[in-house]
Amino acid sequence: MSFFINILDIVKIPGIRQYLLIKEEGQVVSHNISRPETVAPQLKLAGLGCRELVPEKFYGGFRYMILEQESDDPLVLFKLGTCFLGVWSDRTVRTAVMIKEVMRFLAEITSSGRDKKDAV
Amino acid sequence: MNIWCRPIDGIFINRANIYTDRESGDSMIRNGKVADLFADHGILGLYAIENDNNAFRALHKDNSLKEDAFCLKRLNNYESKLMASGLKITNFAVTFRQVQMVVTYTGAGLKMVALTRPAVDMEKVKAVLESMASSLRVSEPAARREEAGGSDEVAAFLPEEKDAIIKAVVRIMGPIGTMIVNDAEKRLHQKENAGNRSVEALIRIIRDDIGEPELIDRLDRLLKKLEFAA
Repeated sequence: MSFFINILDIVKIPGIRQYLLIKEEGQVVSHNISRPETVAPQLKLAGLGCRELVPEKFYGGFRYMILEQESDDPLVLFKLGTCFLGVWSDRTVRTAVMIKEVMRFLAEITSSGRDKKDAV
Repeated sequence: MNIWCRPIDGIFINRANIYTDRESGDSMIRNGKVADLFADHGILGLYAIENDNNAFRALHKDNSLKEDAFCLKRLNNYESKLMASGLKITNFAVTFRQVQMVVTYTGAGLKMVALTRPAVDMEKVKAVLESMASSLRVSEPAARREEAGGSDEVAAFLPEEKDAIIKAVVRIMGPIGTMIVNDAEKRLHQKENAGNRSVEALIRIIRDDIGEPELIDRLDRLLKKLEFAA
């Protein structure tokens, strides 16, 4: 549960404006966007498609995807266990820098969850 | 640098239509520009893909294209699905544990796919591809004929591929193998073969010339080892 509380802090990472966390099946888990029900199917499609794009034996497993669109801010999609996390960058920070920060953040919150489990 | 040219999983890689430098008119590979450009940017391979005919061209790649061809074919389907979902994509990059695919649209129905190391910044790769796209032009058949000295006989396979085939045929047939391949190539360039001057067409003629099923079988196995589908 702490993971889902901690994920709210993702918007504290410089350059991140919005986020949407969905399950692989498309069910919305957490978000701060206005119309998650419209975006969730696109996120699901992009995430599942990416995962199936290349067999793991070729290039290794899928890690993340950057999607630049005509009018919107760039979307970065991460695979997070059985979930997909989409974050929208506001272009104030270089995407590569933002991705590093997000990955560090995700590693932190997933490992802190594991530590607590271990302690119990 | 090995560059292979053969149809894989229905995608036709036609290296005869190699992209050329707009200024010098020289092949980007021959003049070494591509390799030089990529060495500093962690780019492992580059493909130019024409949306209209689903053909892609390897501009630079160190390894076999088999895995990439498989993935590029899926990439096309994936993009179509994304577009159909309402996403208006301008560029995208997918990062896997070992490789990153950066897709950039350069206009005129051409997109470029770069395979890079995972940690490479997409923005930097995009900048390289965009600067490169501005100095590229597609060699139209007329331009290619001109480049080849006005000849209609533009081989749709590479000299190194021909050399590999010669080696295989010589192993089966002895020294006469070179003559068999050269003769087959001549016939490939005859008018009735226009439009089908692929490496596969060349191999088909060679197989017909050899005739003997047992020898053909040995040749097929050798070519398979060399990654030429017989």
